[in-house]
Amino acid sequence: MQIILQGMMVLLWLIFVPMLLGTAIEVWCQKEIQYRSAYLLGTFFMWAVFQLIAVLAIALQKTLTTVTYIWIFIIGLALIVSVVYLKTVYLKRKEVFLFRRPNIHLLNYQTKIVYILIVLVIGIEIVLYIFGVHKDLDDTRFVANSVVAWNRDRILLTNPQTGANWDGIYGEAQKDAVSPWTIYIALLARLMQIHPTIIAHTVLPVFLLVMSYFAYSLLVGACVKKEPFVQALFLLILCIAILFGRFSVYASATFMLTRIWQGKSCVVAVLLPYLLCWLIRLYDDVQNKRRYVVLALIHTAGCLLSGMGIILCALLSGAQIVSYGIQKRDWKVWLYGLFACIPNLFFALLFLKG
Amino acid sequence: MQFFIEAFGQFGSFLIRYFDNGWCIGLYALAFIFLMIGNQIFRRKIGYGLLIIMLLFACKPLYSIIWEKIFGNTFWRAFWLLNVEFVFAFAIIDLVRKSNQKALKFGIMLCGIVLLIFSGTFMYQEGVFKKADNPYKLDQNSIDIAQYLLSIDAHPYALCSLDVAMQIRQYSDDIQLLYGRDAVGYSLPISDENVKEVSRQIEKEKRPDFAFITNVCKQYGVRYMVIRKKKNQDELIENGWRQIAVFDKKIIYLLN
Repeated sequence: MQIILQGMMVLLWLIFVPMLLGTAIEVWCQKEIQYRSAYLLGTFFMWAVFQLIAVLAIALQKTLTTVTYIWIFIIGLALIVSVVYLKTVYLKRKEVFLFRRPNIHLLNYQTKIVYILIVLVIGIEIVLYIFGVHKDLDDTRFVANSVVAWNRDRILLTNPQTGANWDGIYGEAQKDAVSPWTIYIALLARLMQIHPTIIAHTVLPVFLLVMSYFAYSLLVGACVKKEPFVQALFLLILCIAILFGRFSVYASATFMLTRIWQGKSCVVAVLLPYLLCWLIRLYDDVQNKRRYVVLALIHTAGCLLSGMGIILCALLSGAQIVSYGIQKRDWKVWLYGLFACIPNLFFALLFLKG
Repeated sequence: MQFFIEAFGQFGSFLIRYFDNGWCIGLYALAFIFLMIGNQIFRRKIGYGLLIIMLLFACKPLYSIIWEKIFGNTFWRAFWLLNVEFVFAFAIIDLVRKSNQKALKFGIMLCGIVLLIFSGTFMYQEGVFKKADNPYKLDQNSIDIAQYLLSIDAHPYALCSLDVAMQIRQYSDDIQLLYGRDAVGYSLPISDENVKEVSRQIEKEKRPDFAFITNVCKQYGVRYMVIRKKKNQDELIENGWRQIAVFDKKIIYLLN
């Protein structure tokens, strides 16, 4: 019975809720929905809301219970707003909600074979994450912080290595105070009634890996349009490049396929590919101010994950938007881009101060 | 020339650290240039921005003023922005699309994939992943030790060898430790010299100073010790420890 309940909570918080929130964001921002993008945006929305609540709560030394209630309240409100908004849009423009997947019957057999190979490769990677173990010593801090918050309700006021109570936030925990991804894992553990170490090492990696390939498939689609076979080949070659991308322990592919549950790995595997995809779409739609609001949302989600999220998101967006502004000869693009980077500037100041 | 070598010194050294071999740097540069010249979408929507990033990172004054302060000795993380795998794949697919004949397209794709395989390293080499013993993905032995300690004491305070210490608190927060990875400088490095010395003694293969270790344990209120068998194991009993359990090669002692 408990496993069924846990399974339902996983489906609710890791699929249903982000899907609903993200669909509303997609409809608000774009004329059509790509459901992979909707899922990612919904997840980023949940991360962004948590970031804003948690950093303040940590500064005020509040408990995980307080953070959880506030977060659930805001997400609940957002869900209600999303449902009302989507219903309004549906009544006016039903065609927006068409599930635009490629008609399987129209794909030639070569494309189908390529997609089968892609699913096989990703499937093997998922199986390895579920049944295999890759030990990383950084978990002595990351995962231990989650376990403490989940168990004692104290956020970062405990030495994760020894369990001794602190009267403040010290050492490397000061970085975690600005990017409390490990506390988000503790929140998920509370919601799903699953031990945070199991969430980190077994449950989350599956979803994060799928999200990563969603992001890459959207990136491929943004670069190669209306050629299903070429898109499939592109994605297959990308999968192979990632699979053989362990040219060093520092390589992005290494972080993606061996320790994706860690915040910085999430940045490189999920956030940066999707951010690049969003920026590519922005190029064709630079005057759409809503895109910059969503960009700010993606940035805020990046700030939750890691200090690298704060910095690398701003760098990538900043460089691309500077280039777009020059190409489009439109200085307002820079202004909108700067607005979208406000979360990064704010959290970067906190990060560097810490 | 010397100026340019010095200018790219730090950037260059981190670049080599990130790619680990000149082959990959060369291939990436080739793929990037090919896409910049031949693919408008890449050039306009990705390439110019990446070029700005590369120039910012390669600029020596900016490195010492900004990047060193932000990244410290983890500047290699900046290269995640290069999106190496994506650029490789994009270059191969673009080359395939530019070819006219089917046989040539197939040949180029095959060569591209072979190049990726042989210039890279397979992710799942031996030792990268092992079969998990439990859903926590922790050593089963460390979990067994944790469960045993919790069965005899609701909040045990233990001194563990480093390999157990690094696992046990990922399983349970109810177990307090004298030290963990802070003994080797992480989280908040230990400031107490006695505790540092204990961590060094415990990791000794041969004859740790159990008298010293026991004094520190009494000082801090540590009741349990989890270590591998040592040559001078009898000294533990002389210092007031009693063996209470054995798990694989780890012995648990209780301080009387």
